[in-house]
Amino acid sequence: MNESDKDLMNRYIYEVIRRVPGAQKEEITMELKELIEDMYDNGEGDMEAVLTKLGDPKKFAAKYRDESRYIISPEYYDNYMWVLKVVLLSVLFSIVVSAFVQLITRESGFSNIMLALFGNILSAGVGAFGAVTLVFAFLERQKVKVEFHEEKEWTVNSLTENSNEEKKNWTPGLLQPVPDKRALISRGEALAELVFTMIFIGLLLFAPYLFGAYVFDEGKLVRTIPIFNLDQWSRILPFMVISIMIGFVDEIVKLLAGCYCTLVMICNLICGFLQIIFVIVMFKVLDIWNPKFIQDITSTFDIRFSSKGDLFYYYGTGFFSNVLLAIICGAIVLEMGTTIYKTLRYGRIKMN
Amino acid sequence: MGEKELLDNLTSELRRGTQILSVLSQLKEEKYGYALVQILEEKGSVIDPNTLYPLLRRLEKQGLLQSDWKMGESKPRKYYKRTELGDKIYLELKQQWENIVGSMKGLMEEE
Repeated sequence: MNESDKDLMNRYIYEVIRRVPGAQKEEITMELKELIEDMYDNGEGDMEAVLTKLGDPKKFAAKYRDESRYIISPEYYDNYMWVLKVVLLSVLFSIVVSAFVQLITRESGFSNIMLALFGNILSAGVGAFGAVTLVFAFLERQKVKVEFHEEKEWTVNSLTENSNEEKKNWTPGLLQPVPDKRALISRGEALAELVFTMIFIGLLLFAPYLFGAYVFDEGKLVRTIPIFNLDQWSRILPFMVISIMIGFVDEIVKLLAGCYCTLVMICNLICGFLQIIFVIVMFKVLDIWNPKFIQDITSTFDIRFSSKGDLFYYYGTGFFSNVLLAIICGAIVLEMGTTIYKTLRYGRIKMN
Repeated sequence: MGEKELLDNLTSELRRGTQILSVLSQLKEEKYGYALVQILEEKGSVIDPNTLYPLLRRLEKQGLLQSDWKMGESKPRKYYKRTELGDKIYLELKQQWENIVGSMKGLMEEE
């Protein structure tokens, strides 16, 4: 075997092993070297003929890999693509809106705004893509476990038998009843919540000043008086985004399940509970509200919130915050209640 | 798809099911990969090396074969042979095969 044959062989081996899992690379290299040398020495032709006989290294490598490996399996793929599109479009929408508002208020030059627009689209697009993929990849792995868990029904036999083998056996008894129509979760419902969530996140990220009072001068928007405490924004934002993302995960679980069932209920309860904790932290620990909001409003619009009937009279006092907190927590608890009700009343439950 | 291509596909699908049995049948005594390729070819049961090598690894992982790197005539070679479990499974598969041959024969004689 001359040098150029050896080189060709090494190239072939490299093309195979760079596609197989790390732990197997070394041994497969040795195996292939043995095989190719044997074929060559046995007079199956020159190196080119030998390698042609072995065929495309990609296909060779595929046979060495164990089964298929995915981030998102075909089972989840359609839903994944769908959510991805919704999320990307929503994020795009909120970025464009924030750029538009900046254009109107002329906070900075046209070219700067355009530059920021494209930068934001790029970074948010990549971020949103990553987030959606991460959530699905996580659910993909969890769902498998959940299903395994659900299929395992306890019998006396499982004390003696190897339960690992038992729970993989499919029997018609495992077929679940077709869900009640009232337990179905419509795609439209999930779509609306996803779009709302993503636009809300997008605006919080790119244009938090949009939440507030709008100051117009001769019919033109001059600036806004933000209701949130933007000085502390870098501390507050992560809590907001995480808390909304928890809701996002919950939505996706509902979408994948397609109907109210034990999994959806448990997930909803956990997510709701976490969200309540986050909301309480935001309202009680972090200074979420702009402390100068009232001051700014009264001086700009020349009005006073002195009457006790005015909601803004209570702004900045603990009362205002508490009422909002109660409303948000109430909404979350209501959602949890609805889920529990629909699941127990119409949904699929396994009692074991 | 041409008639020949269709026939080739169907033939290789038919052969695929026999590959494990033919590999197991030859590994009572230990052999290295390429020797196995040649023996199978000689006996008319051709199996491509790019199918055989991954298959050997898989059977080893399933505990049917065991392997050992040994110095051959001039270089290290990986030798495979059946394990105890491999022996047992082979005998059972062989029985299954005979059943299949019997019933297929019956089916096709009806023609």
